[in-house]
Amino acid sequence: MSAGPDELRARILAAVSAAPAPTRDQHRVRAAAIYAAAAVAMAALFLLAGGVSHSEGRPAWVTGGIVAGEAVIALVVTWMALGRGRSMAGRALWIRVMTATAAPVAVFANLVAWSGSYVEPYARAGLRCMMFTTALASVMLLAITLVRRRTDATHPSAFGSAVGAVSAVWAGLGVDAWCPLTNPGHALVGHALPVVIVALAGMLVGRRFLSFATK
Amino acid sequence: MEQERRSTVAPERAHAPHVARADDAISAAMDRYALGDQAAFAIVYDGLAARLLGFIRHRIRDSAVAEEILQQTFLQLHANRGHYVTGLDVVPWAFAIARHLVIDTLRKGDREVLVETDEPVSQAPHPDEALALRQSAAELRRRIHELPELQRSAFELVRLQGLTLAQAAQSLGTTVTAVKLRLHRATETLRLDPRDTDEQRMEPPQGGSR
Repeated sequence: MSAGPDELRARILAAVSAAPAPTRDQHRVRAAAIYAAAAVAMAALFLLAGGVSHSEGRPAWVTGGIVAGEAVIALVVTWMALGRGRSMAGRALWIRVMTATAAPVAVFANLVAWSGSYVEPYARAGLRCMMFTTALASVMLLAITLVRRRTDATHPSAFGSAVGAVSAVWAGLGVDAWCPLTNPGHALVGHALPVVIVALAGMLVGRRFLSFATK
Repeated sequence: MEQERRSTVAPERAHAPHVARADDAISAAMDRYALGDQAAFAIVYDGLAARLLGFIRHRIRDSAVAEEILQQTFLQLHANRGHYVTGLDVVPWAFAIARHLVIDTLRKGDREVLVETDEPVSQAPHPDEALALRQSAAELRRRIHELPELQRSAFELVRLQGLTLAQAAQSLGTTVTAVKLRLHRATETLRLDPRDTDEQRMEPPQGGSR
């Protein structure tokens, strides 16, 4: 049975009034609290794993350069993935896909660029770095998902994938400060591959949690 | 920054300044609503409801389901008011949500059927002409429904709902160029006379391809 326009209007406005929704200021406070909690959790994990002292075998200026490069990558991919551009519906599909695919390449290039500039203290395949990156990234992915839950109406899987890549790049900021190795094999397995893994996980998260729900 | 964002949209709407002003009024109301002005949502509703319902009804015949989707669309706009960024256009966002909900509903329940129009054709001078008009309108609707989803969405948003190319691109999460291409292909498909197409299919292939 179709309702009249006035009846429909009254019904929908009543339903809207009855459903609580945070204002912009309330949303910002909530988002800041979630991101702060995530940063504290990631910092705690980083310190538990040994912190910066774990990379003592590498010159401090190299560590600083790698972390600075990773920070630039993190800021750029965050802007690309989470920024809305000129649309409330979010970035275009190609930007999201490019974010998810370019992030691991950029992370790999940033590390390998420093390879050979110092003598590596030991050799590792990169499994510990992979697990550490994935663990830190999971915290960040959870935080972004909580903030942007049920907000994407265009390409939630691609959005989730980009969010996953962003999470892994921010996690990589800590792992790069922790790990003293930059050789290509290690950089690929321990630092670039987890970005791909978390981006793929983000794709599933996006479809399930970032997409608009009908009910 | 806000003016800068608006100025990027305005030139494309130059052909319909009253529509642009109306859309800007909706966005301004949404901004007030995001800040906590409860009364502003009625302005958002009044500016969008008829257009959104028309868009939804084009795919969902069941009035109750269409109205439910309209309600869900406004509830999502309401739930996400905290995310609203000052100066951004609300119209493509609302259509993106509505389209998402329509597709979701169709996937779940397979409710898509051809919309039957109640539009009178009494202006036609002769019953035969009226019948022909009705048949050609029904044929056009059928062929719009048969378009690939991406082409169909672009066609419906731009040609039937009056969104600008930029708004349609935002709503579909793609570029203006992609919308133009989809629109062009949809228009070409709809322009082709199905009888011509059948004849072309019946013709033996020219040249050496086998």
